[in-house]
Amino acid sequence: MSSSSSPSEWQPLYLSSIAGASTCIGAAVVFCQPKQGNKRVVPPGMMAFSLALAGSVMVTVSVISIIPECLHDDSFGDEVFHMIPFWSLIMLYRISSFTLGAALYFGLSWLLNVPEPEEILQDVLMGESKDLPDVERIQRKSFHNEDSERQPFFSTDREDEMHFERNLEKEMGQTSPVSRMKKSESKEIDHPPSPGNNNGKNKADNPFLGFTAWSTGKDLQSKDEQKAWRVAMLLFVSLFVHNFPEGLAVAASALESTNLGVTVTIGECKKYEFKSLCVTYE
Amino acid sequence: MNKQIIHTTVTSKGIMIHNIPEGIAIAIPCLKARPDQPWMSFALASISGLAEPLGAFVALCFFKGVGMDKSQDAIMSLENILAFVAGIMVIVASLELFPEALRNAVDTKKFFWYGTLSGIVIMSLTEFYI
Repeated sequence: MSSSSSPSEWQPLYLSSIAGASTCIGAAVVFCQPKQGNKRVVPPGMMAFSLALAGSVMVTVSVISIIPECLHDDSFGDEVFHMIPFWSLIMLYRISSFTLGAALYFGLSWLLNVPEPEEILQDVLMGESKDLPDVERIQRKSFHNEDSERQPFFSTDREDEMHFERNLEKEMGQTSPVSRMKKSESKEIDHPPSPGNNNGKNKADNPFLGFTAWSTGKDLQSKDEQKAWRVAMLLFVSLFVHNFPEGLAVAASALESTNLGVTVTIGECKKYEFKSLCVTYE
Repeated sequence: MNKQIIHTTVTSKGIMIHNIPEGIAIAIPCLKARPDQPWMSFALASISGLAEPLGAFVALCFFKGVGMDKSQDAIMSLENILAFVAGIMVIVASLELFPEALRNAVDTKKFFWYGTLSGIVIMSLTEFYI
């Protein structure tokens, strides 16, 4: 086995870099979208097309290429497809790996759906959703006003109470902790924070929280944008995970061929088999 | 050695072609979510493509000395990694991508079908002819 570094040994790295860079060609489609002000508009048709394209690419690659390759029994040493025995350790490994992949999706899905405590509070205060029709929102808001313990904060009694507090402060010449707390609450009620503003404040306090909100799409305003971002993140992770073994396969096939040339221990058949693994997979 | 280069080039060509729809697939939902940041959509899609040379680099660095474990019953065999990838891809496609694509295809389903057929055709051609 050759241990010295020659340009051809790094050939797979160059080639996989070029192949990886072709993702940029696809990504450049964003600059072809119509512009409105400083925003690019994605028509629903384009969104449907690209998501369906991504879905069918993933399913087709899995069904016609990856799954047959995973279930192929190499021990026969010929080109004919032989399925590995169903009740075997190898099959258990394959099924477990597949399930683990599926579990990763559910894990990611859970991560991208966790509501932040501030958002829950905001939803309660705002009547749960901006997307609801006005009538329903008002109904929900009144329901929360009646039932929740925050009811007095919305009532006119509350205003009287604050007025009394302010007079008391004037007389006393200082602010009591209780009134300070109540003031902050009333400020929150008078000007409910938008998700974006809230996030900006978090970002300033703690950059990690800002990044978490950004990656989970909590800083986005509309539900549509949040849904699109969730899909984008899921796609990013799954295609990142998908591309990694692709590069691994390119380099491994090249290494296999190098070993073949130097150590002469692997037969032509085995070489073809491994080569077909990589080509078939891709 | 020439044979090796030709073989790796052929494999890379196949990957190159099927990476293009992948780039589109990531960039468009990202742009939809953040329409004022097209460069970020472009960068995010490009980063996912960078996983490829990263994988090649890992293989060249770690498997060069020891050789790839080709036994099928090894836990870290390439087949198990591929099964893991297939697991996440099939689930993401069926539970997220297709329902979301159908949700976006409100007026007409033709874009949904164009996308689905394009994916199947591109992948099948790169699979069987390259």
